[in-house]
Amino acid sequence: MLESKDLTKVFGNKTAVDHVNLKLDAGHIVALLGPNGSGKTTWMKMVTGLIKPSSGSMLFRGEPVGLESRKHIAYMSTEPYFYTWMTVRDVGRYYEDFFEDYSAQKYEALLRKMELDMQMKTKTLSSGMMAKLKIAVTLARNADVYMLDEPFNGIDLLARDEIRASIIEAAGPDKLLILSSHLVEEMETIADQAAFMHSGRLVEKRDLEEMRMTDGVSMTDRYRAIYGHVEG
Amino acid sequence: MDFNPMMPIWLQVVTAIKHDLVCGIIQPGSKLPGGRDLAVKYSINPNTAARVYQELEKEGICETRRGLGTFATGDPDRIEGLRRTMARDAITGFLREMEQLGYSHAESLTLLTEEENAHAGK
Amino acid sequence: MKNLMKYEFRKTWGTKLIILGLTVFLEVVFLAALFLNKEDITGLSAMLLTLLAIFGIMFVGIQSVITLHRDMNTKQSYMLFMTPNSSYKILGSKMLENGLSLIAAGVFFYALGFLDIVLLLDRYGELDQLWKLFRQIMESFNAELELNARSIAIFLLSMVSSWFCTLSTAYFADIVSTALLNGKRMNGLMSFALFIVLSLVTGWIQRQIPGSVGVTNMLLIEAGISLILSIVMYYFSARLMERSLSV
Repeated sequence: MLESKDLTKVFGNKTAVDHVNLKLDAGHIVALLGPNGSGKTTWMKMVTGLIKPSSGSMLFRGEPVGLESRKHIAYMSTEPYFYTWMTVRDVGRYYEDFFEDYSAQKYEALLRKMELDMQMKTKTLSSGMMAKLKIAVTLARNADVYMLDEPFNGIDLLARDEIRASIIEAAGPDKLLILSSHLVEEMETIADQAAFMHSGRLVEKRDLEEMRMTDGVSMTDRYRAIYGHVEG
Repeated sequence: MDFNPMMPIWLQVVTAIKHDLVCGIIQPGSKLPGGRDLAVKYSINPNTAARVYQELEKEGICETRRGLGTFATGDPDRIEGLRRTMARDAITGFLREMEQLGYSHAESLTLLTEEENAHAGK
Repeated sequence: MKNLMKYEFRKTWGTKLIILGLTVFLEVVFLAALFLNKEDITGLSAMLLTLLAIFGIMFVGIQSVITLHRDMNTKQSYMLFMTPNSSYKILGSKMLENGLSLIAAGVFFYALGFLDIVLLLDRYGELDQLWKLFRQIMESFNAELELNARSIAIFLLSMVSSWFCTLSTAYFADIVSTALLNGKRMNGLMSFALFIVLSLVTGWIQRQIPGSVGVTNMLLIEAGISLILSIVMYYFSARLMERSLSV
């Protein structure tokens, strides 16, 4: 469903994404892993078109990403991005205005789970509440691809279970979910594939249950193995 | 449920369900949660949940009835067989552990009887 | 398109509200002073209202450029650029909202000004003389100045097209510098510098029109050139935004 071919992004003298060839199919929850600066966020932003590649291509269903693909791809960035004058209700209305696959019902249901109120102003939300709001509005869409960048950041333990449940519920045989998080353990059981990135390059992509059966290691173990010896 | 992340998750869920069935936590013949619900319940990937039911069905522990859902087996023989197998596994595990500690099988049996008497005495 | 314009308006609503508030306040002061015969305050508030009208309209116009800059350079950008809207639509909606706001502001201040002048003349008949003198001065400057519908229309057309040219120049300058500098600190400065350069170029192009064609024709040709330049810059701005802009 999503494929990057020789995808490269250079910022000045830094190569953020370095000739990445990564193919992701529908029906999976993929953990996109790597330390800070490995290129995960830049890669995801190139899927949405927020960042334009320096070279190479990013394809959604075989076509270069653009206007049409944005209709079917839902991205949640790490940073808060709603307009400061908005309330929780305004955020929902905005998505309703621009995304055909948005469901107000789903939004309301998710808000209830996250204990957020329509009247709240985004300006006054704590970082935890803002994180929950971003997830709620992103998952309220019925997209083909969901990309959540750091969905667990700033969220308390119990709410994380709630979010994991929402993520599982959003998954489906015709959907692709990409999760990126530093909290590797949180994704251990819900992801079924993992793509490891380092210094802008793709290190490897694994099927997790297979890895457990053949190598007897967890995703967290593999993470440590890949990045452990690189960082002094 | 706490998983050992180094072992296949599907296997651990299969074991858990078998265990629940044998212990009566899951009533024989009762309806099991749908694939997605199972995934949410155990906080696992939906594909993993599907694999769980695939394996259970292969072993005859559950069966999917078109349009109705997945049901645990109601066959008492099958459940008894399962119970036996799990008991045997528990015993094998116990004996292996005792072996590691340096006890022979005979010594292990003695200790077991002692322990049981102490319990009964209470 | 409607939705895009709706949010463009809401993004700028705050400052518009402030301008409106100040205007209402000064208007109240003006009216009070007028009826209480406090000539000094009447004059002062009238002058302040005029200044507010001029700067208010100017600010409404510039706001669109400020909003675009913010939309491209802060995290707010995700809001706009994640949506399935082409850059052509996005820029178009900004220009339209800007145009409509300016018309609204223009009409508002014009109507208010007209009302105030009528009241003023009613109160202080002597000003009528001043008005006649004013018209004489204007006529002496340019014999051709007929205050008829056609020349007003041409004048308005020329103002509108020249504004759109300025606006698209500002958009173009900002987009080019943001795309080139990838949102580094300097890009505000560079976009302003680029804007000045481009404005000088467009000004030069306008000056190439020979004066012999007459005032009204000159205005028409200028308007035409402004419109063409606007469209060209709009097109290239949107193209650049669509293909090369990273936020």
